[in-house]
Amino acid sequence: MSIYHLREALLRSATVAGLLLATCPAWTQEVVNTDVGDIDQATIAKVFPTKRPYSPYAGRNFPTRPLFGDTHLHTALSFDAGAAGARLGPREAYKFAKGEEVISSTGQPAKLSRPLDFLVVADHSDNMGWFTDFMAGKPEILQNAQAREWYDMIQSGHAGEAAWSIVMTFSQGKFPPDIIYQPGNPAYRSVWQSIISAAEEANDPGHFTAFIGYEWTSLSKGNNLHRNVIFRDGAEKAGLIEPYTTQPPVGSNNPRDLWKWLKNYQDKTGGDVLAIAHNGNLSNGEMFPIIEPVTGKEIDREYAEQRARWEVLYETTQMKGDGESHPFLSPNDEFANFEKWDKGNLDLSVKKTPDMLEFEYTRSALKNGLKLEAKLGVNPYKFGLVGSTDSHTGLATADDDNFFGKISTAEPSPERWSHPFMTNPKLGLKIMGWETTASGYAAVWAQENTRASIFDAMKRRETYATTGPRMAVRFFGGFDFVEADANSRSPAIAGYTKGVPMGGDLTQAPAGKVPTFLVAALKDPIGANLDRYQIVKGWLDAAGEVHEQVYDVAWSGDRKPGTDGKLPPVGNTVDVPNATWTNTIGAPELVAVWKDPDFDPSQRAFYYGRVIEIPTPRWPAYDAKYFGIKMSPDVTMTTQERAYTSPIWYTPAG
Amino acid sequence: MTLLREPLLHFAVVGAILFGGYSWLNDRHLDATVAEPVRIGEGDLRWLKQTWSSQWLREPTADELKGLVDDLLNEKVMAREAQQMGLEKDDTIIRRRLAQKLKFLVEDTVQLAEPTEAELRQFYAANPAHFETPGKLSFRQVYFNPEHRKDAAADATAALGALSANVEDDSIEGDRLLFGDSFADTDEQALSGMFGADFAREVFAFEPGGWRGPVKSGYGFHLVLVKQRTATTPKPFDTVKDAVLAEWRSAKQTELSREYLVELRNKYGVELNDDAKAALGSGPATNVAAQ
Repeated sequence: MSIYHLREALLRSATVAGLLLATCPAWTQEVVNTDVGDIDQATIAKVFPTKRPYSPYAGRNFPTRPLFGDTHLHTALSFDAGAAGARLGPREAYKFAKGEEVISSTGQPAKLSRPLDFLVVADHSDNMGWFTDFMAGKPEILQNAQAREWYDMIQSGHAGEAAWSIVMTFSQGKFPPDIIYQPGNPAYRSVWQSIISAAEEANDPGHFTAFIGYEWTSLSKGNNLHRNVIFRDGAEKAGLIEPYTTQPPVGSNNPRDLWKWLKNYQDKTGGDVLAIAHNGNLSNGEMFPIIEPVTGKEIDREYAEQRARWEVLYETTQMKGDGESHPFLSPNDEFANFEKWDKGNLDLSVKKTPDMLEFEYTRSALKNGLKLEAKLGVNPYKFGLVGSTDSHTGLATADDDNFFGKISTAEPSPERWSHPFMTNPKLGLKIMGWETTASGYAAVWAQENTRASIFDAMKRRETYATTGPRMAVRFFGGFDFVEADANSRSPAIAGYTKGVPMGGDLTQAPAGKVPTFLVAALKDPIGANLDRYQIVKGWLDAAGEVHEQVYDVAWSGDRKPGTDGKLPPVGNTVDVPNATWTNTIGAPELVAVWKDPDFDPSQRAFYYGRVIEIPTPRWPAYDAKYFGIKMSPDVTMTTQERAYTSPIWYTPAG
Repeated sequence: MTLLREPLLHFAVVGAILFGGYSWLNDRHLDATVAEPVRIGEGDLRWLKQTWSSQWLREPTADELKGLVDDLLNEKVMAREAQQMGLEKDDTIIRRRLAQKLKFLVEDTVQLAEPTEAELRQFYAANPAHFETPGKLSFRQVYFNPEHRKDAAADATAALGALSANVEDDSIEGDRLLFGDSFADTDEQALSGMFGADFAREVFAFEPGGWRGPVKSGYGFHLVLVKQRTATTPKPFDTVKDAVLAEWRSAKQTELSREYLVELRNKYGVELNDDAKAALGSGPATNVAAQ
């Protein structure tokens, strides 16, 4: 008994110190409220008279360049990342994202080709609480002489010496047992608080945005239902709450409970928060359900409303495969067979069957969303698109020539391609190291690089996913775009003035008008040329059936579509043994106006852009070249990187 | 990785760590703990309630609390059984987790360190690049797209002649570039995001005034007229004091963690076989510590 009391005692000084820490001014507050809010056609029309002022700067407050970031990065704070040997924490992760060189967990110097504009460190929420109750204090703590001494040192302004003394006492094994773990003690420091303070330190409004966030890692029978939670707020609000967990007793694996938590956070703190799901491809049919897995019933209006409210974005591409579509679902789409992970669920405990696919992929979810909207009055799957890494190394790498892998044991090495990433020998399932994808990033059309501005752009879905390259992609929909808009000096002005940007809505086509789209893409300034810009359309017919069609709308060179309507391939300059390619094919820029040739104003539809690069070496090719190794013939050595825009939805009147 | 994803294993591991870690740190009480029944006491209840209210910002209801206690009890008996079976022994994950907890503990403690003003100022002076306002550029550019021209570089050079004669000549538009022709108050990072780092570096070196170029980017060739350039300036110490403190702490943490590891090795003594010795080499063992 006395031992336990003693134990409770030591870290009481630490608690006091923790309080001191909390009051010290290390957490600078972001006070930037210059955000212009939602962009819609009406506001833009007001901002831009039909003829823009002579000065190109005047009135120009629409987003002029995309900001690139990662909304999904794990660090050593994540249980599984730490277990796999990750040593880098949030502070190092932010440094790396800002373009600084760091030493990776395996001791290799690592640096991005150029800085990212923003980063969300999204560590698993479960186990974050470990430290909330690790060190603790009760009033009796000061009965311990050593603790008392430290307390006094801290109080009298000698915290530095106290810290040193505490560390050395640790190492000499003279630490009073009172300090050691005791459940039931109030928090000294939570991992959550340290994540928040790392974000607050790294956040540099106007230059680099560090979002506070976490991953709600819901895994139900091995089926991936993960969501990343991102706060618009700083420490003053996010610090009031602890992340929602998935493990009983307190947490839950049911997304409905997460939505309740999100709402509760906003109600209680006045803050703003959103959630981004990912890896439907590993959910075995549970990511975008029509029958809700928990209840076994068709999803209802409440589910649809809540999902639409909180999950405005979906992470459609990342290291564990690409989730846009699947050849089984889109047999006529020759680009659908891309970085697919379709062997089973997240832990390969259950094999994938084709009937699951419809409820896992972005395009089919968008289609089913139309169906559900017609029935429920709300579209649960009305989401915009981003890509992110889901790296567990603290290193947000998505470039094939600079890929630091999914986990620390998969950082560059001559063997990593041949290591199985996951296996289930009983079911004969195996995913090899080389099958991990060097992908992706989130691109956001925000007016400025601040939490508020980027978050608000996410809320209005003015985002797109890239598999790594930083191409600039525009996608505007309206009823009045004409060829000349594509040839103007600044298509974006026409785009915002006459239409809505990606993520927006078109309703009620004026009589005789059909949707037109102004599309533009500019290659990554240090990347590969572009092959083509496609528009993917999905729609719901009068009989309640959903359909899809992919249209080529702009492409490089003078290729002509064949009799099957398909554009010939762009060619291939990749030299696999040397891991090089040339920009002698493709185009740096693609711009066009496209008019839907099969429009029916009475049918719900969505349209999104897909931009394809010319072929380039895939990351194993860079590995083979660098390490001088030969890989087996089944390893995919080339890729066609791409971007997916958020859709624009068309909804008929009434 | 399959195993790592298995919820049942999570369950067992979490419990085992809880108790394994607890026992490891308190091994002399192990026997007593084992002999005792699984208890849920006042402290556990408080912990449950607190965890709940930290996530929901309210107390659990009676029903919710019942569920919490029930689940905790199950977790505890499972963990006890797992521990009895010795499942926590030689477990990489448990070992790493314990090491990681200690590392966090040490790092946190180091965060208590409070430097003097003089130390901070010295750190600020020694790391100027971390505490400055980046310079900004306002400029116009004319783009020559190699896709649309036989010799974009030659066209650019020819246009430079005309523009040099008349700096404000608006008739030479060049080709359309999606990012536009005029840029105001753009810092080097933004510029390099749009045009690439080489272009940004080159253009940032131009003096304001005349047309320069052709400058090569990933898109083709550009002529550039810098209208205004502001220099990179250090932010005054008082405005970045918090940031300096954070960086100072982070540097200090690295340093103290390294010393701590040396102390720990001394404390326990280290026995290495010849192969391990050879693998370690003679260099200082530092990369085990904080990054």
